[in-house]
Amino acid sequence: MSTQVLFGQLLVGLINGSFYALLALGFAIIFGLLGIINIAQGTFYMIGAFGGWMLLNYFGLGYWWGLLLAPLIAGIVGMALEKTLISRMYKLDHIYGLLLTYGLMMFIMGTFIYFFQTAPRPYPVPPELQGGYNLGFMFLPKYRAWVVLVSLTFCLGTWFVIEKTSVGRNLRAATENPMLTRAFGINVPALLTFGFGIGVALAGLGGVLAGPIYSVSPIMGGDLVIVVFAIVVVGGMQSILGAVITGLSLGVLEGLTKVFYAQGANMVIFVIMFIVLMVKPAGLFGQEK
Amino acid sequence: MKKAGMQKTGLALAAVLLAYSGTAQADFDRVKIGVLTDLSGIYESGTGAGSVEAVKMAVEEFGGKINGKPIEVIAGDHQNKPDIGSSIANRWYDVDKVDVITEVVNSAVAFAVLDVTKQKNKMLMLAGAGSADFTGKACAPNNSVHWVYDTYELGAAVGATVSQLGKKWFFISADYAFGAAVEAGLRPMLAKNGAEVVGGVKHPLGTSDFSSFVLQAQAANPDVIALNSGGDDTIGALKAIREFGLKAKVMGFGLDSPSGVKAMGLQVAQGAYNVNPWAKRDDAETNAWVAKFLERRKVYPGSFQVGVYSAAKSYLKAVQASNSTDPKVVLAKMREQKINDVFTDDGYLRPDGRMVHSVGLTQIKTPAESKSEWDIYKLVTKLNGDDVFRPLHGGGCPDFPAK
Repeated sequence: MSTQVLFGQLLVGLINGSFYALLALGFAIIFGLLGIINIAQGTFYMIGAFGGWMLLNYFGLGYWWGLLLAPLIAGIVGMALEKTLISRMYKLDHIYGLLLTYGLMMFIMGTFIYFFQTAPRPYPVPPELQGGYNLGFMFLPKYRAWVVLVSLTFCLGTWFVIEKTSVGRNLRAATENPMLTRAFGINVPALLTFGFGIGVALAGLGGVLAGPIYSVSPIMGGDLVIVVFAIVVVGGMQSILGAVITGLSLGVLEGLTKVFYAQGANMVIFVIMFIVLMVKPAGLFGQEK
Repeated sequence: MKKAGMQKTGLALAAVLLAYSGTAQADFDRVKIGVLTDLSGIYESGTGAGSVEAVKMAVEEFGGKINGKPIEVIAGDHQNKPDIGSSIANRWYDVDKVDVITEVVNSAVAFAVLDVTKQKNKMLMLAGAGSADFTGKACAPNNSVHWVYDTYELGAAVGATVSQLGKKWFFISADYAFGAAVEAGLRPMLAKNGAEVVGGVKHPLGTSDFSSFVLQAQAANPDVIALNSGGDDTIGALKAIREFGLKAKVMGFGLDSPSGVKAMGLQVAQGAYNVNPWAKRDDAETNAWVAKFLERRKVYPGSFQVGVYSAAKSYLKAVQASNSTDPKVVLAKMREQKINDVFTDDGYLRPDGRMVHSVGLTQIKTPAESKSEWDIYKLVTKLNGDDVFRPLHGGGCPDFPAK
């Protein structure tokens, strides 16, 4: 194994890792704020990708519009579901939220399969991002670099908003102590709906970003959500920073596995999860309660 | 008493004679074809309802009748399960009086159906099943034919392209039985043609990101990358190869599905090669047939579907000519006939059941070359059937030992 190849693999791992980070972030926000294990996160990723695809094919709106509107669509669908269904789960055990979102996932996925079948649909890379850079040790497609840039920007931005701004403080307060927060005149249910919307919009954004790399299909989010779930567990369920860092590092680790033992690539993240749960049940960045 | 006995014997003799003469005149009161296929699973798009339609198109060409007797077609879903396949076959042969079962994609199911067919002395015409054992150690010269392709032919046909595509090959194979089987079939054929396998990687089934594997391929600097996978895996790998700007030629086994290639888009798929058991001609007969199929199914026919049409047509021609549905009689007639239809114009049926025909090395067109929605493949070379199918003797069929 030459160092050139190794560098290439590390970079590819980082690219995938930034994807994972984006999705894990949405997942961690929703669990952290609402206490909902949102198994339907992969479905919102798919809705985002399909949103982009539909905007292009039915309305002639290109990638940039898709990037703007598809996460919004996913977010609005998410908020509607939160208002009508998911908000009823807050007082119950986590398992009920998990079952509900699992049911939602099956329902939405089934509906999409009914109308669109499972055959993947092409969603082209926008002309501005075609081609790539020759880095010497590998050829870096422009679009992949773009994905890393967008993912990291949004990860850092979201972390900043939640940890450092007044909106974020209100959000955190609403989850810590809803009664007291309400006493300060803050509309807690609306805040939670907003939080859920942000979480799923991040998944929707991931979907639009993924469209040109993978193909758009109703089943695209099904497997991914399991990996993302594992990443969030490893990072610590409520930890936003944990989700981002774990997403990136497990992406790299998975990339390395593909070089040294490709057959195990689908498994390595779960092996890590198993080990972490044995040693540190709250996750690497989680706090024991 | 004795007289009555004599009379009885005479009557019985007359009845037997009558029955016998009846046989000679019209062996059957109808011809029934059972299309046993995957109607609900992963192979549906390449076979399934399209294969049923293709058989019906063959029947229509005979006006639905042979020598005044009706031709019937029934369809069944084996769900890719051998036990379901054999129980449908049993019922069809015993209760529904099916004369011939055809299609049977998925070799595991096809082996089970072949057993039933041999027991009941009926007839099986395989189209979508791919194991080379059907004319090898599992051959049934009196009961089955293998029409479209087999794994030996796949390997040999790819091997025959070495002189055109290049000598350094890299494998990106799906890590399951099919990927392993294709690899195993390819290696000796590539070696025979002087090619070298410079590296390979096995990826899990259903991988979404191929960039890592593609970079490994790039590092090995091959002339040709063979994608030994199917469906979405092939699409994903090809997309990554294009994305990372690899210059190597691509040979893909999953590229024979027109709807699959259409879904990935010519922008991505252009220039990739595959060997297709259907060396499609560009003549009026073929185009008319394809247009008719397109009108009914809304998708372009795949090689298994054209193949099953060809098998059904040849069968019905032989039934018509021999005026019998007895497998042995029909098969003898089928071997006499030259096979010339939209599937192949140089096919012939070998005594071991192998239908030998030329196959095509095809290349996917560029968006500029493609004139219409389904204008996807161009034929690069026709590979002679006798060169790519395993020779009659020494393939493991006990009736035809190595000379």
